[in-house]
Amino acid sequence: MNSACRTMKDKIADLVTGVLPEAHVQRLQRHLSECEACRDYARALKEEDILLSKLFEENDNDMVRRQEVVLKAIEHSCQSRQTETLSIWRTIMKSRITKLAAAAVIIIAVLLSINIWDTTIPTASATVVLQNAVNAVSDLWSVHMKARMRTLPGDNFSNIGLDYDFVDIEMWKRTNENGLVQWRVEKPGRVLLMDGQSTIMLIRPNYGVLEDRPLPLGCLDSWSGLFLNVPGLLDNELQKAKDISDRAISLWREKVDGRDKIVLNVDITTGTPEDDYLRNAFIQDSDYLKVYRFDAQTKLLEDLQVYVHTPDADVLIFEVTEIEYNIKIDDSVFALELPEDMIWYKEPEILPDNEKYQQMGPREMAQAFFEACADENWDEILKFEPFSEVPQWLKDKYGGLEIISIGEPFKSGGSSGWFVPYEVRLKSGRTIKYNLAVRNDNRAKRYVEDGGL
Amino acid sequence: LNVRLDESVVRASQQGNKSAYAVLVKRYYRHVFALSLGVLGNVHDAEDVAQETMLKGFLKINKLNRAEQFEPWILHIAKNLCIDFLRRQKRTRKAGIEPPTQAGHRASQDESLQQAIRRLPQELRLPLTMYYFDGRNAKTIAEKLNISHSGACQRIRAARKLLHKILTERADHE
Repeated sequence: MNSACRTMKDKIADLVTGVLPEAHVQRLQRHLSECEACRDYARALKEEDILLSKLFEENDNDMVRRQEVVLKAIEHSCQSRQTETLSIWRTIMKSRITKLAAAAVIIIAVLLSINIWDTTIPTASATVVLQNAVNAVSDLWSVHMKARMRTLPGDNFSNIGLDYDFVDIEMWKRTNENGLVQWRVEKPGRVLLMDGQSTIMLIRPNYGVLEDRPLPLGCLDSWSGLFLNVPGLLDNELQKAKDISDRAISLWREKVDGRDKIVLNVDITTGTPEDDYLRNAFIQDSDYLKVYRFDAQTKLLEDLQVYVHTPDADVLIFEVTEIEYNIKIDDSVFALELPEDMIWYKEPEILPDNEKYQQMGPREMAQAFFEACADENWDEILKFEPFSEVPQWLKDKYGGLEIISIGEPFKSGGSSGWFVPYEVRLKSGRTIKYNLAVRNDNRAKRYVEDGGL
Repeated sequence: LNVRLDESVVRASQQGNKSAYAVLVKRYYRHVFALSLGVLGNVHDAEDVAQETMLKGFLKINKLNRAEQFEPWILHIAKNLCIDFLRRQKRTRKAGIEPPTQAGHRASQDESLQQAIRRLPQELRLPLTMYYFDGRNAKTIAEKLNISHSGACQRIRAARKLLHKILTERADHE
């Protein structure tokens, strides 16, 4: 090991802990390819790193039990404090003088409206609060919500990103005098409309999904749309509150601008592993906390926030900024003007040579898909796309590409499909390294592209 | 990012609401435990101090003036309780009462690693522990320890190098 190696030791430690700047990585890799001693040192540090990660992971696994112990200790301490209060009371009652003094203190405290014995504001149980909230919206015929969400403007409605900027979301729902239900969920790049007869999703500028029947809120991945069905949402929480322990639900009061609010926290744990690809990329694959705020007087839901749990902090991911109940909503909200050159989603058909495609696994499908892109063979591409025609952007971006590698497919989160790692060089010279989402739960039973481009 | 939520939870806790404080325990116990483990180097001692910290936090939360400052406040309590613990431990040792050792027992790989971590000086052990507990994020550690980002990177690097040296020496002796 020479003097250069001594400097490299610092860089090796930085590389293993992931803090080495990208500019230094290549130089270090060159040195490692030439120096056996440094290679051994790097290997040893990496092995220790794995052991350290495992050791701390094991410590972390026990965290819930430790928290339970702490909460029990707090509970016990509260009971002890109550016992102390009783002891003081017994002392007071022993003599006439102490009784008179205590009475005077109580009268003064009442006059000053100070509760000196107990600062707890009484709260009803979660089930009572939710039942009241459900009753408060029993005559609801329209709702309008404005919200913001950390999501990509044109991506799925349940797509999230902890570092994404907030995107505005607006949603409407009404039931007319004939009982016809209509709703609309919208973010800048995507609109989902159910006009009472059919359900249309427009992915701007010109992709669409059309179903000739009314679908329920929450369909086509419209996660935020579920909040529009306020009675259903609260009733669902009510049923869950009856079943789960008070650890997942917590409740308290707070004062905002002089008005009492009831705050209800509901924790959602999905069980998606920490290192799962889809965790914190889609809300249903993340652990999160829903915070509902109800007006203590009217019992109406007034506010709702969703925080995604991360080891470091709870990140606000969704927030309803405005709710209006029982307002007149203009008919134009439930109509959608579509561009003339729409490309529609199409369930994959059974091809004459369907068997050939049906036999392809996720990796073979990805290989064939990118080879067709390389050859600009758009008829072939269409066999891997769930659309009526190949979108122009796909032709422009991926036409004539060069395949660098196709990796091993993997499963993730609650997705029924597969993810195939790929690296391609585009005609522009730009390299893309990402995961192609594919699925075959269609009538043709062949894999088609489902995202990741 | 979670300031508004914390404010609301802290306010409710200040009114004596245990459910609200349970939310704070669930959110911050991990960080308190990581800090305690980093300073004390022993899981059981860290559990004791972390529990005492959260309990003290509950009893003293009315003294917290700025609700959004809960995290630095509770970590400050944890740090002070760790210092008290170490002082008590030092006094016990001076009085001739040694903590039990596992002499004669060949340490497992995990035990060797834990012993090696305990041998690190506290100023290196703390950032190292927090690094592995806090999603390997040097920036977060820098913020929590109130040091620069490069300072945090330097300490993690030094800790890793020293830990390797301790483990190598131990292996050579065996």
